[in-house]
Amino acid sequence: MQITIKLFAMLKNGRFDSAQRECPDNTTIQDILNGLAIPVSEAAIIFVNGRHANPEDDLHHADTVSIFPPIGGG
Amino acid sequence: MLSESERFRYQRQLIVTDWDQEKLKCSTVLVAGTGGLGGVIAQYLAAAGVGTLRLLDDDSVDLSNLNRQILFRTDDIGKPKSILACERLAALNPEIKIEALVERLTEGSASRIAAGCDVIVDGFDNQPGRFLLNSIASRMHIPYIYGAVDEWHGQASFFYPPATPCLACLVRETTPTTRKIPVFGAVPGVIGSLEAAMTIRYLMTGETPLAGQLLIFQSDTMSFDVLCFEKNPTCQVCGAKARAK
Repeated sequence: MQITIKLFAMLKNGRFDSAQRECPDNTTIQDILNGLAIPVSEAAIIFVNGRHANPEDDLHHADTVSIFPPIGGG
Repeated sequence: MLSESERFRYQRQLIVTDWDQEKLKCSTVLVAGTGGLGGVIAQYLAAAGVGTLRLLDDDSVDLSNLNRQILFRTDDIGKPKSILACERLAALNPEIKIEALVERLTEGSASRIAAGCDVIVDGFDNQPGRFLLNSIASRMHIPYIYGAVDEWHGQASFFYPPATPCLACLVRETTPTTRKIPVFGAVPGVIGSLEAAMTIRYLMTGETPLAGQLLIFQSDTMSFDVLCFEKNPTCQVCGAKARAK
């Protein structure tokens, strides 16, 4: 299945802004984080198709995963 | 009742659709932090005529603040931010009441600091402070207008549980970062302006356009997005168990 991954703020440094990946069925968000070497502690906010999600959630074909680090400045 | 001088001062906003200056005049707002975000928020709320502004900041001005904290000047270095902000904003609008609190927000001081506030607006510069603000706002049942920035990126939202999710429903609490957060002035300028606009709109109309939604601003691609999120029923801050305590 095809998944679109969007990374935000510091997470895109050294990676990408947006990319499409072929993934096996039953891929979870945690699998995506592992593949990108993003510790779960760095994925403070996760959305799938514009709705809030958690690392253990399964992904489905054509899903778009958006991952944000902790945003702390002001 | 507005004075003649107030009617003259606010004449350009009094003709804005839905504007209710009396409501703003009767409102009290806590601005938590007076730096990059808080300075912009406080400046716009003061100019608009929010009746009472409570400015909370325990920090003093540092040279490295001045790339983004537009209330302060080079000859302010070493002086307490909330007192300086109070002086600057009183000069901008002497019609309103401004209180400066040179202290840190803690569980112990929260009830006193936030007492009587209609809204708490987030001008903090750290994640632990935001989680504390969220917890206090939820417990005291005060709307919390959230904003945060990092590098080219900014976020804003509105939390008012139990009607809406809270910050802890949205963001997993992580180990506080020790890195210096990259920031330049225009991003907190944009997010702080959005927080001020949201505060004014909420005070006058009770409308909560970003309830359950996270606004994302990316200044590198000049894009705005709005993403949805829902309440976490087991949230440690606003879930059913937390509220029953």
